[in-house]
Amino acid sequence: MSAESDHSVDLDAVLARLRARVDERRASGEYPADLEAELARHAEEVLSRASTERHLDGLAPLAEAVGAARHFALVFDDDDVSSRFPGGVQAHRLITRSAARLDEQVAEALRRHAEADQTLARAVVEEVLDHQRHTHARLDARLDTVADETARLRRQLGATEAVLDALVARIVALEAGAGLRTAGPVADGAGATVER
Amino acid sequence: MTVHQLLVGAAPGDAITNCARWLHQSIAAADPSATINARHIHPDLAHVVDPLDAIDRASADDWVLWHASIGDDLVAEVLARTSARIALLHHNVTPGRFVADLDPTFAAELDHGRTLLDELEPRVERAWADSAFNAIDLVALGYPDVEVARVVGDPTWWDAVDSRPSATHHLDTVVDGPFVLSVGQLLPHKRPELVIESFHVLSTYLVPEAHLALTGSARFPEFAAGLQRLVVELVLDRAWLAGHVPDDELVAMWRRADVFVTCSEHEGFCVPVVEAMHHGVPVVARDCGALGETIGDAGLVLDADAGPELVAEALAAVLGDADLHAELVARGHRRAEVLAAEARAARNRIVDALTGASR
Repeated sequence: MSAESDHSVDLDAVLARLRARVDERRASGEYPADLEAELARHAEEVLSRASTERHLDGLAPLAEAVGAARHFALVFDDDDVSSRFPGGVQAHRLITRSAARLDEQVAEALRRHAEADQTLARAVVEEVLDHQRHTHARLDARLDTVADETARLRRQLGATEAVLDALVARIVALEAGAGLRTAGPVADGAGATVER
Repeated sequence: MTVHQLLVGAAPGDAITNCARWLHQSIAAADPSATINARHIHPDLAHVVDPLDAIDRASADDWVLWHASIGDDLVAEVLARTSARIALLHHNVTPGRFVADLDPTFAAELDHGRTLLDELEPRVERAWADSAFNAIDLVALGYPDVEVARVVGDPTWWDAVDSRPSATHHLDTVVDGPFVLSVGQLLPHKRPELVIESFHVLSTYLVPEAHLALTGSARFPEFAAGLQRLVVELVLDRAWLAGHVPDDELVAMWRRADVFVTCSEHEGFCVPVVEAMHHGVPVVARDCGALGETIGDAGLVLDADAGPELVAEALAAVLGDADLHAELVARGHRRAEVLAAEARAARNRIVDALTGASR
């Protein structure tokens, strides 16, 4: 891009000046060293965390779906035990009872399997989500640091105020002793309190 | 003979949909039976956009004007079996790698869009690209004869949009400093996080009273949530992710904005740049994709790899230097007028070629 002759501002020169200004601020320390790298790293961390959360969001429902299998039950239609052969009905009933007992054993085995699967799935989900929360803990730690620093400054300010109060009291006493004006707030003509 | 325009998706505010509708106004004047067809149709556009069936009913004399942007199985099938002549308007296909982590399926659809361009090349009889950047893309795919038709760059329709009073009032009362505006979908290749980082540098070191608004729909909610978290963690209480805003709110923002910024890494044209220039808002961008071509000498086009410090420095210069600001506004107005005239001429060329009309 180059500025045309009828333009009063040379944009190429502007761009060159902007690049130079960035270099100057970096050199003088106005821009902290590695500011851009630090910002990029931070953004990447935040955005990748968001991406990960999307994938993790689906884990808990999946674990619940596995859990739902615990309530698995076999449902059978009434078996037809009729027979044209002598003793056939009894034989069919015997076979049906045996088959039903076997089916119940299979169903019970499936239920136990589902319970074990769900226990495992829940453990995995909680572990993963807990790990995910740990990344938030970093922010919490940073906020705690800020809160601690704020409290420390407030304590310092309190100590300073105490010193100032003592000084004001001392001055008031000295002024009273010397018969001078009173320090501290006095009322102005309109009745409002003003600081002198 | 009829012209059927073919899109994957039609939605309000979408640049390709707007382009198709704008072309349709002229095509329908010469060919009342012309249609716009899409696989996915937003309910608000159901009265102007038809499903894909019409393409299957097209005869060998008809034209299908395919707006290429993303891959889609059904659209591919329709194009493969149609007996109509195929014309192509290439709007660029974002490389899938930008969204592979967020949505592998969508990434595959994007890449499929490029495959489709490659596969259909033997059947495409006319090929237009809405920027030289996109034309080069098509030539690289083997298209022998590509014409640049910057048909998406007429922003004059904004003149008929009234700003919503509540939005204007909100901006007047809340935005009490310089207003930096970024318009574009919140997608990874548009690098909104770089805009936020740049604003961090701007408000921390250069112009503390500045405000930032990022407008644009969020295709990936988790990506938008990440951007919001970035704003919070950087304690940018004057930055604002506005999401998708209707035209009457956006126009209020354009009228209040002091500078427009995009850090996009991949653009086939970038309509918001032209809208900014039309509204008298200076443009700061990086020289990526078609951005340098669209902006010309009417904005601050930074190096393609410019980081937050240089972007912030450019924003501060525009906000703090009245002469530079005025110069960019004047150049932007001129550039927007040129692009609008180009868009109208390109539209006429396309319509003439497809309808056989002459102007």
